[in-house]
Amino acid sequence: MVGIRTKLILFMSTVIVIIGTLICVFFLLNSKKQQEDALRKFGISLVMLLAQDNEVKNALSFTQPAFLDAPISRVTALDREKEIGYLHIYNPQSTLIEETAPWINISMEEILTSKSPKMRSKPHSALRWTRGGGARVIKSTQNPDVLIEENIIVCSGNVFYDFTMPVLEKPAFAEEEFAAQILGEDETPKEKKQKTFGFVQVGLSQYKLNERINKIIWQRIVPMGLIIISGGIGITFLLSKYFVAPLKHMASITLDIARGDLTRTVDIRSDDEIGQLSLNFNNMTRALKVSYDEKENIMAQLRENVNNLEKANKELVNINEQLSETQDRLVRSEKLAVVGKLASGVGHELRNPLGAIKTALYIIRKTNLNNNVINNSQKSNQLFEIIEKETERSVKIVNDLLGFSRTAKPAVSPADIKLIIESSLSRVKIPANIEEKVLLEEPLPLISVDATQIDQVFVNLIQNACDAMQKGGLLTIHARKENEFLTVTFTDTGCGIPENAKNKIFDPLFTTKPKGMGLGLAISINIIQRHEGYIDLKSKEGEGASFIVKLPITKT
Amino acid sequence: MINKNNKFYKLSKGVVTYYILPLLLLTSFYISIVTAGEKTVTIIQSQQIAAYNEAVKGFKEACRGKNIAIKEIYDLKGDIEEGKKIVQDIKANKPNLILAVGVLAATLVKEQFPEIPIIFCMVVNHYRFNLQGNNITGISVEASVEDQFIILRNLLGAYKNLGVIYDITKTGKIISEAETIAKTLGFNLIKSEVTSEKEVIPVLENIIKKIEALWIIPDSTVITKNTLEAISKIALDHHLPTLCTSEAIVKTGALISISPDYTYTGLQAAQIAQILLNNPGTPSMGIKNPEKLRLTLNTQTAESVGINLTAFQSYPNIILYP
Repeated sequence: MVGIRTKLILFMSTVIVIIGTLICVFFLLNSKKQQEDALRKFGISLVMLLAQDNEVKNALSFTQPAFLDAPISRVTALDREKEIGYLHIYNPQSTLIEETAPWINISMEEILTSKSPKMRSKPHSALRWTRGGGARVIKSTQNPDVLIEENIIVCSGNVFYDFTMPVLEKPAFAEEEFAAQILGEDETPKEKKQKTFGFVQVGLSQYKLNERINKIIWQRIVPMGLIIISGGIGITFLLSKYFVAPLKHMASITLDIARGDLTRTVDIRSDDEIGQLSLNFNNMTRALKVSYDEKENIMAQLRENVNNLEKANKELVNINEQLSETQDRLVRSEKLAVVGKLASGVGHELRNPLGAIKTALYIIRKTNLNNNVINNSQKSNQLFEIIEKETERSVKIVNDLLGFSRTAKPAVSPADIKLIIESSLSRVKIPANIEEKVLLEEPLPLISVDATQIDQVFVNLIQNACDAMQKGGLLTIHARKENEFLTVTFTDTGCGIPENAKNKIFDPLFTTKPKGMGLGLAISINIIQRHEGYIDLKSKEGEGASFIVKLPITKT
Repeated sequence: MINKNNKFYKLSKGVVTYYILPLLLLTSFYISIVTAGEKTVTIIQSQQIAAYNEAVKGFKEACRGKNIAIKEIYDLKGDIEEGKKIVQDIKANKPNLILAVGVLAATLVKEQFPEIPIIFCMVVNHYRFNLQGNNITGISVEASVEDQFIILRNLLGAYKNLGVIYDITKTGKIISEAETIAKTLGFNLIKSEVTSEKEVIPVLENIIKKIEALWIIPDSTVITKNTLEAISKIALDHHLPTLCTSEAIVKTGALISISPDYTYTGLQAAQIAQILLNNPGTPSMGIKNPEKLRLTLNTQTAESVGINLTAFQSYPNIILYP
């Protein structure tokens, strides 16, 4: 990023360089003009001095060049810088003197070809080639009062300021002329024609003029330009630092403010725009701080409100969960009540007929045995066995139904879970292809439970595990103390429970087994809940299942 | 007791009355002449112009019979070199008084003869040349500004805005004096400065609509061969009355000039000379205004401007041109 100070310095430096250059050019042109004017005045003085000299007049009047020695000596004495390039004094009859300076390599003839009497009558500032072709008049001026003709002659690379003046007869006294005009009468001559004796021509070389101008350039203009430019840039550098420093200070403070430090203020006390800006900036910062504080207060209130809302939401979620749980429990209880009532009715109604069938079957079998009927009809014996087996099974179902409906309030007493597990395992016929593993993490405290009911629960869970492992597997029973509970986990490596069946697995009459009634787990959860415990299920289809039974530890 | 009827008494009375007294008177007269001696005056005039000649003529006539002998009359012919020779002659002759006619003569004798009483006249704008000294008395060739304005007011009425062009280096003194007089006489002097004759016509064209009359003063920057006719023409084109101090300018088209009677100026100079010669040691009498003025009117210009001339014809010393 290019800083404002750099931009300012670059801009001002450019301006100063331009101004400095213009000043130098102006000074150069002015100096050149002054030098040219001085040269011109010198030339006019010289030519007038010669033209008005009585000896020159006499020399021209009598065509006597010897009379010119003294006037020329006087004129050359005045030429201290040796600027006179040539001198030419002539009258209409002949040339009296024709001299060039020793350092001029041009013949007088060549210079004079650029001058002819006819040229004096031509318009001023005429641009024309001379008859000789070697010189060119590039500027011509004429003063009508003193009759001096001025020309600039370029001749073979040399530039001459040429001054030519007629040498006239002495003029009348001007004030007397004026008096004659004011007091004049008819006989006063209107205008006296002055006699021209001849002409004086002086050429000043531009060589010395150029030397002086070069001297002015290197001794005055160049140092002046350098001083102006370097001084200007230096002053700009200092001024820009002076002007930009407050802005930089302000910029650093704005960064602090942007980072959140609204206590920062700009301490610039000046009566200019920057002072006003700092004042406004401080006012703005104060206003910003007030707004920021207000915003922070509002944000704090909002955060508090959000926390309250989150808390309320959590409470609502908990309440909702409790409600949902309660509702589930109510639904299950109602369902269990309905199922229990149905089971109780069905059990009572089927129990007696089944008892009668069983008794009748016993009598038939006994009678046939006594009469050796059985040997005669092997087929009949097989049929009797089926009837007896299915009757037993029906009796069991009826007993289960009655057991489900008549789950009594547990009669708790301190019991050793190890013994209950052993009892349960002994009551279930575990197939040979299933390996059983019991892990008991000592110490295992006594628990206050109805050992019979818990034993039934464990039997159900072991039986279910064995049913799930038709192709064999591992049954692990793991008992341990966890905080206030005693946890017993029954893990099998069977087929697992499908995801969609997990929620219904504890519902009565729900079963995944082909010959099950769907009452085992319903009875089990009912028993555990009556003991203020929990049953959890962890299962993944195809990888087995874990039923975790948590029973509260008796507090002593 | 003397008898008045006595013959001797009568004879004596006759002799005394007709012989002795005149004799005594004549004797005393000649004695005084012999005692005083004849005073000599040298006249130098700058050049031969009619105005100078008129003044010299007036002086000569006025000196006649006044025991003033005009020893020499020199003509400088407008050339200062000529004057150098003449100075040598005058120094040899030692006149009692010198009359210088014209500026060249006046400036020459002022420098060369500090001991001899000098009277100068016919010097235009004399104050420019510092013609002052214990031995120098002069007669101005211009009517006083006050006289000029009074005549302008009396003749032409109240022209409020009076324009004038001048070069401050030459006639600044006249203008500063004229400003006060103009206010007193109810004129509003609109003055325009110039530094060269080239500026005169543009400046005149610039002020011509603001002025009601033009006052031409003898300023050598303003009045030149090139400008004089143009000034008169522009004034005429705008029907402006012009006041000047030169009959020559009236002849170019100006309306009126107020100038001295040059012959009378000579006479006035002779009167001063008499006083100075009869009272040796009298200091300078200063610069006198011309005692007799004359008006010159251009009748054609008057007609163009719309001025009725009948009222002026009763004025003394008035010249109507052409």
